[in-house]
Amino acid sequence: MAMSEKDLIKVVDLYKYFPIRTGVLTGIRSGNIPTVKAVDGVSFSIREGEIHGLVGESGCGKTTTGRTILRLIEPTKGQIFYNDINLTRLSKDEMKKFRRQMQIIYQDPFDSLNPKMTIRDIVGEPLEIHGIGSDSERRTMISDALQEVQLTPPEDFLFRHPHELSGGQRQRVAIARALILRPKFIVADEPVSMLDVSIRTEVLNLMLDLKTKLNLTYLFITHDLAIAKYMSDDIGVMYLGKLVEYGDTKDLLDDPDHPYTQALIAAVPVADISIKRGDIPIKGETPQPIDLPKGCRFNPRCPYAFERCFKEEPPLFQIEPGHGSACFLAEDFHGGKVQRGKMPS
Amino acid sequence: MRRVPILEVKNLVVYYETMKGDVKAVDDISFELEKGGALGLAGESGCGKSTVALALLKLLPYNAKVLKGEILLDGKNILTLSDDEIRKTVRWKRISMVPQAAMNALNPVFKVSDQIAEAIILHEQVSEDEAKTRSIELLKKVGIDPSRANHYPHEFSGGMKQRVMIAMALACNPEIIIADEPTTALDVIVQAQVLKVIKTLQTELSLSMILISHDLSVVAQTCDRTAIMYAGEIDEDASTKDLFTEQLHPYSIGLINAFPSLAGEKKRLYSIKGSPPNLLNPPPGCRFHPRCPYAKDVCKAVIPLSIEIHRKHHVACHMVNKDPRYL
Repeated sequence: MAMSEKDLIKVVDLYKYFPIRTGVLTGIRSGNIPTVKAVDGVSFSIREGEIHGLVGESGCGKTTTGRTILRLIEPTKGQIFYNDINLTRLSKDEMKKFRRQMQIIYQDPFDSLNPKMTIRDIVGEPLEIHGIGSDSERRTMISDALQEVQLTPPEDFLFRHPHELSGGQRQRVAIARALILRPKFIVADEPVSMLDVSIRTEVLNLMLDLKTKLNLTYLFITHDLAIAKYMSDDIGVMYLGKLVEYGDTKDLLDDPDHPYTQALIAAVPVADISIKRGDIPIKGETPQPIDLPKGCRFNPRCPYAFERCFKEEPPLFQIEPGHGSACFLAEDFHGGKVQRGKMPS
Repeated sequence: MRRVPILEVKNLVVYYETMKGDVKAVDDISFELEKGGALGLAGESGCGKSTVALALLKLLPYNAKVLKGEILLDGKNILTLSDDEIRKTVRWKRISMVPQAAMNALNPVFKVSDQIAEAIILHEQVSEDEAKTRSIELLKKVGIDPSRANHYPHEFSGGMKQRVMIAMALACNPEIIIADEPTTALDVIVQAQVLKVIKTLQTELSLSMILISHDLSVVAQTCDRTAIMYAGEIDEDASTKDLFTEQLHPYSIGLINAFPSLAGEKKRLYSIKGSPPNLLNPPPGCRFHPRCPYAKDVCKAVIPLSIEIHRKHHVACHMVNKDPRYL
């Protein structure tokens, strides 16, 4: 694994608020339009050659984060650096040039491919948009791209339409399209969640192989911790628009610090009957991101919540180098004040 | 202890008629459900697991036809019963179902307790008040506070709606519950909460349960027996312990090794080449043979029979069964 110490992507204090459509009067009366705080102050960086997992439950803001990094959604506030270049300062045209280096693979290969286009046109479209190569060069590039994702022989696929392919094959087409511009950075947004297990593994392994071969860097977004473990070098856990914990995959999964991460890990069913699952100590469900609790947003569900958690919002505390947690107990723990045991069951 | 089967499915064949021909969705499957037991029916999309569930309740769509087989409930074949008899004597009272998409299964314009009460009134001779009291009891059982009984579905979260559906399935005290992907649309923490409710109720009320899921780990943690389906057939069925520790069918082996796990060390996952067949025209012989790394000539020609390898561990594979007639 060729992972350098250099950061390829740096996200600094990223915010994305979506306004909610309400009646005109609501806005006038209260003086402000209510918003969904999809991403609420997130900072992290991705080293070159790293697979950075971003996990969380539905609605936690992981997809919005991924898309905002590519400026497919404009951030409300914050900065995104790609190789020290501040992407948020670029004009639309300049950004378009940069997109050659940063691509996205979407969740649903049934939706993301135009049903009227042939595979050749789908995979070749980015070349056309960026005006790369002559016709014959493009043809070679398309064949090569299909070969790379193991859709072989390419001639069998060039003139077919998406509906003639299985889910796994479609997702390979989406990967081929993302890779044809030879990008350095890929946002993979739940790339296998629509696929069946036996097909899923092939796509994951393909993505791992391509990463090594083409020296790629991934932001790998998933709701599935087991897949995040399989794919990622580092993992960030999001809850209601905030990064609540980050760390090296092994550290984070073996020794999670944030009560939410602990609950998330405890809740994942394991296909190993020798492992008995403990109780899930947290109650209730994720609240709506419109109406966030005051203080730590996890406080209504947290078994450890104390006074301070209801007043202040905890920042990320570093527990050890490369491992941080947004929990006041982590601060105390780090300072050696509280020795927190396992979750009570 | 020898447990008696409460439900036995024997050689069930269900095809769907379509313009392009028959979709061979369930082809000659047999299994039994022990009284008080939990059987997991696992497989990928399109393997026929939901068709089995619908067949058990006689809820198959109009274009489905049951060509062969028996479904024995306490020894009595329910396939021969008329729709009316099924409705009056079997559905809800003896077998009921927790459907997959709870968010769509509730009527948005009725209070949840009224919806449960409706099911009770339709099937039993009880007064409205009594039905309402019972529905509140049921909500309590699944962990919903009685104060929420008069709320409407939109006031509930996804996990709560799924709990309401579980309460409703229990409305007429059935002996068997069929849970069809009961947690698929839910987030992992809520999934764990709902599975816990299901498991607790199953034990407390000594229900027999069939849990249908594409997620092997959900089955592993909830069921005592597991059957693996592939392309309309059951490839292997065994106690959950046997199946997850010494699975024998190449598809089961592939499937279990294809699952990333949070437990244990990270290792490269195995992948099964190719994709499941189109059931309009499934491959001859063993339906898994085009993807099977061990396939021999016999697998391409002869359908493997399900054979008991150990006690209560059935496998349908020529390479495992080594029937002298074919090898």
